[in-house]
Amino acid sequence: MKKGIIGAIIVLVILLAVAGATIVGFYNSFVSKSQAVDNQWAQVEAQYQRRFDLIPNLVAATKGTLKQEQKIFGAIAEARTRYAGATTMQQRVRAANQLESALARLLVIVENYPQLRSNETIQQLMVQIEGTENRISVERRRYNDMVREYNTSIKRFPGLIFANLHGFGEKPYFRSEAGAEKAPEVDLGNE
Amino acid sequence: MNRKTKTFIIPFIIALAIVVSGPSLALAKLDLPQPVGYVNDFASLLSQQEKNILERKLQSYEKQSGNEIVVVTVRNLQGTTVEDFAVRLFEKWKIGKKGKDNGVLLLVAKEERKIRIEVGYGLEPNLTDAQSYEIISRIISPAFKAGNFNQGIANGIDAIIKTISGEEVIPEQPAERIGYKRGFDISQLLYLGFFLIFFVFQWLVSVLGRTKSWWLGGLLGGIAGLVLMLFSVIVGIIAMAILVPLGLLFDYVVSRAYQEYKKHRYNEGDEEGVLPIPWWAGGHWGPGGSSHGGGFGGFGGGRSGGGGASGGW
Repeated sequence: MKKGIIGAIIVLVILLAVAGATIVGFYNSFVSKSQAVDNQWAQVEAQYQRRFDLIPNLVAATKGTLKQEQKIFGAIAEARTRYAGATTMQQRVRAANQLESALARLLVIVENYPQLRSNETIQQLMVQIEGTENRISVERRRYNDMVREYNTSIKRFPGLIFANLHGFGEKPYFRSEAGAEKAPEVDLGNE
Repeated sequence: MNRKTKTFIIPFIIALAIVVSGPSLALAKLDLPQPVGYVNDFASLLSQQEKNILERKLQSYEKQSGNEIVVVTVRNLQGTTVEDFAVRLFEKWKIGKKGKDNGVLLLVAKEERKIRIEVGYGLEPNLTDAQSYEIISRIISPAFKAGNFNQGIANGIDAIIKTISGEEVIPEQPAERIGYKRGFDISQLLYLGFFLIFFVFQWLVSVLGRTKSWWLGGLLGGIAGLVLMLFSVIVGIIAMAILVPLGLLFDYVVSRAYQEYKKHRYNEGDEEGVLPIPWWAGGHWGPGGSSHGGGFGGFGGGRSGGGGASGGW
């Protein structure tokens, strides 16, 4: 009889220890996953910054030739200002998307001007910007992968219980603007 | 009674561990090959002789510079872009040293006629996008257009090496060669922790139960506390305060249970005598080990982020 009580106590102690370790483990894994998501977003923003740094050069190099395309330069300037003034992540993403489509239009325009395309400086700038675009898409995909991993881990049983307990919320995926995936149309010659 | 609780608790913990660890997320839509060396000519574009020369060259280059340059030719890109394929292959193979990210991947897709130089984070300043583009458009593409894949790749690799050189020499660090083994994350550590708990638990039961004494468990608890005291005195004292009575109790219970068991002597007598090999540690659901074949040791754990350039022929 007494033996039974002692056994029960031991089982209870072990169970408590296991439960404690589990909670700590889950908590720590959520923290590190959430941290990884934030880090990855910083990577995306670093690449955005890199793109911003390249744009003035491209604008300066092409503005003279592209006298009839002032509209596109206006759009780029506006998107840059918006990005600089953005306070929330959502605003920043929207401004970055806006800039992305304006920049893509500019690249297509440049492609259509043989005298620009053959210019070595512009050629190099184009390669750099294309490289940056690729980097952005890589970092964004990784961001989404990490968000997926994090979101899955907080929504899957039994992690779900601990996530609710400690207030770990879902994180947003990066979504590009509707229509951003299709190639931009360029109206040459007008305006 | 206690045997019952014991036979109950172990499966319970195992079940818990299985639920906790769960299946890992499968993302792979692309069927990416395993590396066979520095030169991976899956599309058979190179001659055997050229492959050997390149392999030796890249091996010795890695030895003296630490940089890992890898050549891959594939038949097709499985429907994705050359940029995407390259970065995913880079991700999977982890080209370059961990922390240094000093890897370069030269990828050639035969059917799509695409070329890409994917540069690891660490080499981005040494091999810029513009330089990669130049190497592709001036050296590799023209040779490929003429149908000369051996020359195009050999000269391209030479140009990549020359472009990168001038940096400080990074000696080889074998300790950092983790290959493409997956890194431990928290859930795996937790998993491992459970294993340790079962193992220690089972072992203690078998040893302490066998001894008729009931003080050995307390002694072991005290020793564990002393060991912990090496790291932190307070933790050690607390641990001793908990572990000594717990050890005494534990030893008392299992010893009694064992005596009881011996008295009744179940028919399955083979369970007795030897230190039981933990039957649950059979290995087939142990923490994920590395799986690779072909004898190639893998790359160093480097990463890339879409740097480099693409081209075609």
